[in-house]
Amino acid sequence: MAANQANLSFRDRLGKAAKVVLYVAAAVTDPSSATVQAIRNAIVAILDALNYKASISITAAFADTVAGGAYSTCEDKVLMVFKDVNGKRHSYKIPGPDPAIFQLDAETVDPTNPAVATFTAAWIANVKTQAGDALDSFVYGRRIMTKPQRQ
Amino acid sequence: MASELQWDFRDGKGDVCKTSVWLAGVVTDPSGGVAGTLRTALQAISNLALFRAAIIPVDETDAGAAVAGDYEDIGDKVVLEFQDASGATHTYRFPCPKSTIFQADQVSVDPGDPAVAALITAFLNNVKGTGGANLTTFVRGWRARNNSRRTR
Repeated sequence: MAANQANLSFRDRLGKAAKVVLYVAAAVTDPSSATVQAIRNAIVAILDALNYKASISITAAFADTVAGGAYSTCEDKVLMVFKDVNGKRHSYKIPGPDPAIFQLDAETVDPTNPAVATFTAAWIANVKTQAGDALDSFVYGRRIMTKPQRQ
Repeated sequence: MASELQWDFRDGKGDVCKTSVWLAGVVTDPSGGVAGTLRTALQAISNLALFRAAIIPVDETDAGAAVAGDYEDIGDKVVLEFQDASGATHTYRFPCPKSTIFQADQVSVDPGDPAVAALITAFLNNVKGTGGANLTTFVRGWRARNNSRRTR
């Protein structure tokens, strides 16, 4: 048996928020499906709160190994900056960058590197902003260090 | 409707980090299709182990309304306890319960209230335990209060 996690977000009259997690059948993958709507409608019928968002988390595991290399830690990242169709910038931090994607200064991403070119093309073709706008162009990429994250 | 795609990476120290993007529409496959194309492109520029992906389609349609009531604060909760076939307990805490769902003591949930009865039916039919087990029985419900969370 398997189940998908459904996340329901609530707000009270003062705008304070709370989240409730429950599980639904693995076949339920769309938060706007009749099953999720039935659950949401039954819940809000006993509440004085607004249920303003529902989402479902579907996970997959992969067998992959650490390739190693000069920057192969979670703190080492490459910052990839794109521009959307409205000219707004959106940045993505990718951990453990392959040293081969940088120029000789080992800081600046080489946009002509084949792996970088494939990456930027895949991002522009498929990734959207949270508002749903398309990404228009790759602006630049550079190597950065971030603080260690809590586990 | 949009979907958030998250990837979890692990480095040689065992540390875990995340990257995420937004996709258009309802995407439900975390490994194939668009998610697979992006993962392949990502793995080509990263030396870490990409060991997990999650796709999270989001529906931002409103249900219900935030209205005035006796327990209108987000810290006011109703706790509902269910059991699955193996007897495991599953507890749910919902904010801002309507006062009409409680018995005269204003603490115990009244399972005979029509809205409560409808919720119990909806849960028994549609909600699962973490491992996918069916919920089989509504055990009890009560009013509780805890600290409110930060606004997000």
